[in-house]
Amino acid sequence: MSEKVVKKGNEAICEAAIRAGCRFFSGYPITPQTTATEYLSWRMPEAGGVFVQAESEVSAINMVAGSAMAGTRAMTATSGPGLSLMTETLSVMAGTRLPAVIVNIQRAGAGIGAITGNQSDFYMVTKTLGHGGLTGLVYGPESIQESIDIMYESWDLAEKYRTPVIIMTDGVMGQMMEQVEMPDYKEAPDLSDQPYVAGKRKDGRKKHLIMDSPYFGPMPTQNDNLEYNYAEYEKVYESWEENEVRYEEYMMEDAEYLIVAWGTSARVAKTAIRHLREQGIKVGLFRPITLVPFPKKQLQAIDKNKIKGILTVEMSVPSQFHNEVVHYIDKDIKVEKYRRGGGNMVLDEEIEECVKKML
Amino acid sequence: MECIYTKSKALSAVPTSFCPGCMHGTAIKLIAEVSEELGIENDLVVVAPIGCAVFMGAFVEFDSFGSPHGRPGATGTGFKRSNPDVPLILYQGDGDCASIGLAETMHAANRGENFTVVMINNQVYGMTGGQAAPTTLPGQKTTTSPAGRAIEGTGYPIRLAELIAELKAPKYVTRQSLHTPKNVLAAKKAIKKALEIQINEGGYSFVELMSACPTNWKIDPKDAPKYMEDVVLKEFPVGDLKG
Amino acid sequence: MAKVEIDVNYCKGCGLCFGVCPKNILKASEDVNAKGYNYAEQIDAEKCTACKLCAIMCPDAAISVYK
Ligand SMILES: Cc1ncc(C[n+]2csc(CCOP(=O)(O)OP(=O)(O)O)c2C)c(N)n1
Ligand code: SF4
Ligand code: SF4
Ligand code: SF4
Ligand SMILES: [Mg+2]
Repeated sequence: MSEKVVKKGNEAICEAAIRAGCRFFSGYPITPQTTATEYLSWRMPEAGGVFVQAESEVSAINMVAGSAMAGTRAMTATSGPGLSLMTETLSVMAGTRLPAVIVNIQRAGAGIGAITGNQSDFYMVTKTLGHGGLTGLVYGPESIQESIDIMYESWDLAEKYRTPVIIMTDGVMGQMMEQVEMPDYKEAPDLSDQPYVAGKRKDGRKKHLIMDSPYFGPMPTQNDNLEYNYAEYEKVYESWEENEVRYEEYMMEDAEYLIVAWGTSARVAKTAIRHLREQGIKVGLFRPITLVPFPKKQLQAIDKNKIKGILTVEMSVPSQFHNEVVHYIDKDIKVEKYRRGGGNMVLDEEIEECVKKML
Repeated sequence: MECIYTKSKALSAVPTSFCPGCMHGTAIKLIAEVSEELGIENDLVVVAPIGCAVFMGAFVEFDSFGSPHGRPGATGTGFKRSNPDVPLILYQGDGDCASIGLAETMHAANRGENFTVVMINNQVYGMTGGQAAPTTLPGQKTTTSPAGRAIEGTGYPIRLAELIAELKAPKYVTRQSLHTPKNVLAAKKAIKKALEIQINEGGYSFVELMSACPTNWKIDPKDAPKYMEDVVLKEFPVGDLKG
Repeated sequence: MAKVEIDVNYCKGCGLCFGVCPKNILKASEDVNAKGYNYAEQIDAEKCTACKLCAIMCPDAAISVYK
């Protein structure tokens, strides 16, 4: 039975992971992620799982990879600098096609930046996971409830496609408290026969040789197999574009102006839209929920005869999401941007102003 | 006639791709033999990280998985904590274990993770063509120390087994060598003891194995054992350090 | 009676076995194997005591010993 509880975002997403059958967590403290690590330090053992405070984010993600190769639903959580440290292994996991979940609770800026919420890791997770050009599924929920729901499903998707899944929240969502509905406990499947799982060999099963570079296949040489297998991976990515794109259309039906935003920015934009509607301005929101696969076709389909202007809203300077959106929008539609950086929030009244300027 | 010694069944039916005289082959052979003797050849899992160790999985019949360079201490921890009953060996090079992965190595040892590390100390980065390693001997010529390793600026060889033996958690820490049949047998005994500790009582063990990389040492494989005896083992004495 | 069998396909001719044989009856062949190595050969089979030292030393598990 699902239950209604009041929880902080970081704790809620971790609790949802436990409910989803996650039984391994390793993390290294970093603001604004620390409350997630603290929560799981007691909650994971209570649920019969393993918690390890790693010596670094490099170790944390490698522990997660090791646990995934034991057939366990494993995750880590971090924030920008930690995600940077994890990139080599993210690339390895994409190459091995290991299912696991990584929560990135974004903070602001490059380097040490600022510890308040931001959306400045958009490029980092949407372009490629580390070196090599491979990728994984990436989600950008707008609320605690949505992060719970995505987390609850994430290993099902990770295992279905054999891919890392990244969930992008931020410091704002992480610290915020909300009443949410927590789903029921779900049983993790038996993954011991999966080719990416080692140990617990049943009689007669051939050895598993698990490598991040798929050298084996129908081709005569290692390089040719690598090329062949990556092309197969690409087909999986392309299938996501057909089957896994998620987005929300909010008050778009009669809209003449459109805001395009994701995550916390989208949530703030909704407030602005309600105010603007009260003033008779027909504005709606298009909100990508999956950042990979990106809702390209849906953005391309925005009708220039209906929409007079688009405003992108994001918490990142320099712009990242904006540049990606512009790429897909009909060239006859004017696209403006409103963004705040450095850990500053986007504000609904400033969004309203920007929309009014476009009228 | 009775066969009194032959290739272990836990070795694959393909010759290894190691260079002639490379003692990675010896170490892997010993691990295979021990697994057979302990009856765990179907259960054992090996982490085969970057380095010449990376090929190991192809030459043995056990399950194996790779690891980014230096990270077996972490991948091994994640794996073993989730699969506590599966015997696990981290098969690492000295660059992997003592340089890029030093943090992972020390923290896994300090936590007393229930696995066995077998570290191949060949005093160079073998796979990348013989650059200096943290274990390179003073004065030893490598491709990145063409005039010989200078203590000033590069420090002394790291004796990792000694460092690990200083920690409280590890149960068994030893350094052995693969340069004579007698030493090979002692090394085998050490690997067996380490695995028995892991399986029977649980606990971390570290087995450093002195090995030859004749290719990058640029010596005839036949001459490697004498060089090891006369020079290498002076810097890296063999014997049990703990347990 | 004792005998060693050297698997020519596994032998890389490294010579590590030569030096450890107490009877000094192992040497490199004139011929090469498929990989181009002068593999190990036993010259004086009768002298072999099946001490296994050569087999223990061989990194490539190329030597089997019979008694
Ligand atoms: C992150 C990273 N840095 C560098 C390398 C290149 N590299 C591959 S193997 C290796 C050295 C391995 O040396 P060692 O661990 O001593 O193993 P050996 O080959 O000597 O057995 C290096 C530096 C790499 N693969 N990944
Ligand atoms: S390079 Fe050195 S360590 Fe690597 S296989 Fe050749 S001899 Fe062995
Ligand atoms: S030690 Fe083994 S590989 Fe080397 S020469 Fe002798 S039989 Fe051949
Ligand atoms: S078994 Fe002993 S005596 Fe016989 S060839 Fe080998 S080392 Fe020499
Ligand atoms: Mg080395």
